[in-house]
Amino acid sequence: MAMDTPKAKEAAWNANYGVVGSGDRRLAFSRQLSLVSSNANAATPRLARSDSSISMPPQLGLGAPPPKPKKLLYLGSRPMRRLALLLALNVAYSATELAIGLFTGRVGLVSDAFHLTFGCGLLTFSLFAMSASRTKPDNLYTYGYKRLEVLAAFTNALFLLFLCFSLAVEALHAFMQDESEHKHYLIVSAVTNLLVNLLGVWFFRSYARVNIVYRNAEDMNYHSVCLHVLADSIRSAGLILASWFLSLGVENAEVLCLGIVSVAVFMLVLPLFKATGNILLQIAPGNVPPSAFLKCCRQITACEDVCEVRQGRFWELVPGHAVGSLSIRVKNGADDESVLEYVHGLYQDLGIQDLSIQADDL
Amino acid sequence: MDGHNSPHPQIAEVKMDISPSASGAAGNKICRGAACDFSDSSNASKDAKERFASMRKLIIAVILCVIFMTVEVVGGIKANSLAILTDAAHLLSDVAAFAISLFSLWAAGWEATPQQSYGFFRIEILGALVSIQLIWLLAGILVYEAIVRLIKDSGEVQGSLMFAVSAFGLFVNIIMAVLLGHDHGHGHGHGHGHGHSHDHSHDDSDDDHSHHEEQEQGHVHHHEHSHGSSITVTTHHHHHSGAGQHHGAEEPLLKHEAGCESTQSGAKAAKKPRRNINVHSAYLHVLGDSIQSIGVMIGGAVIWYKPEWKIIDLICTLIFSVIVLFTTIRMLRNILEVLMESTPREIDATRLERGLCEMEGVVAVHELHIWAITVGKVLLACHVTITQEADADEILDKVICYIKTEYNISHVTIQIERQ
Repeated sequence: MAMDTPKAKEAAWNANYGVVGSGDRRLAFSRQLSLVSSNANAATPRLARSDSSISMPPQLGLGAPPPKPKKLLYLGSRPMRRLALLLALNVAYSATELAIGLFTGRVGLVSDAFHLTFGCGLLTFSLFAMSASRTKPDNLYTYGYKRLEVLAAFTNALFLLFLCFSLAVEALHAFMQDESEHKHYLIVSAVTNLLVNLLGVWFFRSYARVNIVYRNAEDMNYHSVCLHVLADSIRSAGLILASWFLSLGVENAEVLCLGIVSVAVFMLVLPLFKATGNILLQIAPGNVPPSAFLKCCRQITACEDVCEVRQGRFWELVPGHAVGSLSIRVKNGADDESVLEYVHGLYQDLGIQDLSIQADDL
Repeated sequence: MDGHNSPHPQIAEVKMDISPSASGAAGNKICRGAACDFSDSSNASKDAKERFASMRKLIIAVILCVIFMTVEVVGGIKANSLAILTDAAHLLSDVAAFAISLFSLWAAGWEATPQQSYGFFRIEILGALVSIQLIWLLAGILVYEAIVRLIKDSGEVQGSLMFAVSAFGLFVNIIMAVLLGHDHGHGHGHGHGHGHSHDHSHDDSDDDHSHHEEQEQGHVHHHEHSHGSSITVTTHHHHHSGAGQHHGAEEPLLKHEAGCESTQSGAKAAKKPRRNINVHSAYLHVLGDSIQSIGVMIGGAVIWYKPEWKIIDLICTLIFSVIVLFTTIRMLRNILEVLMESTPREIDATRLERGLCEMEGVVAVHELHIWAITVGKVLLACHVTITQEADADEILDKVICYIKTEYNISHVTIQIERQ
């Protein structure tokens, strides 16, 4: 993937997207493709998916890019390895915490360990999604397995929302019950937790933003993992702050800190939750403005053979892969083939590759 | 025709009032109305009825739950017992699950917008997913509580109180399970003898009268309901149970549907009364709660009799949590399959492809995609390559007809290409 090639390690620049690869994503943009139909061939449409920092523009006359050597053993892309490392660290940490908590009888450690275990489960699912989504489409899953990444991102976001809700409940609990001493001995565990999670944030630092333009399925998954570790580190930091304030004698420090953490995590996660939820709800492709669809419809109906366009439905399988189906009514005796080619070309400019067009003669 | 009068005929729902008579031979191809099988008039009202019936059940369940919860909260505060308050919080989670299901049911009826060209039916599935994650979360919380009980080795935990509280919780959950799950027992009765005696007798009578089709005129309006809302099926069954075997009028309310389709194949899958996925997930939630109440009851009884065997409580909770997780696996698998846009289980894609290829004029079929927008609503898109001389229109008609009658998929998009 783009992150792995040494060429892309320094900030690679792509004319349509700005910075790709592991460069500073704040400089990334997504240029709107013009609706001028590609002059040469439909075989090389200018699409979000096929544009990568590796492929050369055909005008340079270099021909097809040299094929990447096929690896027999897939060791995992760099993000996968990093996530595996993070997961191993988390599992080890939560196991030791659980053991210590059980032997010394400290409830706080056990609850923390449980929380971490849930987080580990989520990260495992993300890792599994990363590796399983490479499987080729088969008979049962005709669109392939890329949706798993979106699902993993959605599950991550959902559990983060649960976390923020539980933090709010905990704040309420602390507010009503006023037992403030049980946070003190968690300092060591909170600091360790913070360090482990900060390492995770560092691994996925290019995704440490709230609003990201998702260009492919992996983006969503990595973003969700990053937000997960970020939220965990915010929580640990909040706990440390709370016990520090308590030792300073500030009243209701716990309530305050937990409340702030809860609100922060909520604001952090909501855009990701909405974006993944939308994809799962079959929303129309986000990178194409509705006016572009309108324009396409007008162009099609302007064609003299076409009576009307009906039931155009478009959805995104994963960010960057749009699918659609369309139904048009053609005049009797018109040449279906050229109309179909024309319509296909129009939508390919928008970036919609998989399209099924039903032409009814009437 | 209830028009989706979107002011801009953009990407979806171009309003087109084609009267059925004008279509004629092309009637097969032209879906009646803008959004076809998803919301034409008869389907929309069937859907709406089904939805309202399910919503009514859920609302009753929510009200009951809230009543029980207030009783527990008041009792817990009076007795100053944490255990009772914890159980009240558990009931609160039940209310949350019901609220999610209610919201999904309501939201699934929203009209399609240009951004959401398929409508909002997927919200049902997402709501069910959230519900199931809640169940998992609660199972984890219960295991955590059991561990805490194990650690805090003092007389804090009274076995008798635990037993009593969880017995009450079990009672509440059983009432709600009966309320939520009651209908689909009857709904299935017609095809599979479900252990309800009157359903058995109906199976016999239905078989006897499967040929008395002419009596149906007076009962035309039944058929609209028979497929959709199972509540009306139940009442009709009860109504007719008194009438003897000779009333051809009681006629095979459901068998008639079977008679109408000429083929007896996979189309049957659509006729099986589908329980609404959201009601089913709420039912699973309540079922899981009652299973765990049983586990906690056993643990409480153990602690009551022999307080030193506290480890049994933990083991019990673990076992029962695993059982609860197993009950959710099947639903989770269904949800995942829909969300991954896979071919629905009830449709055999290879047979369909073979059937299409066997038609004359058809050379090959490629890019066949069959997926479901929600359980029960299936779409199909494919590219069909035909020979040079064949008549595209005729083949299109035949293909659409074949798919509709054999597999009951009415929303299809076929692209005809010549070799």
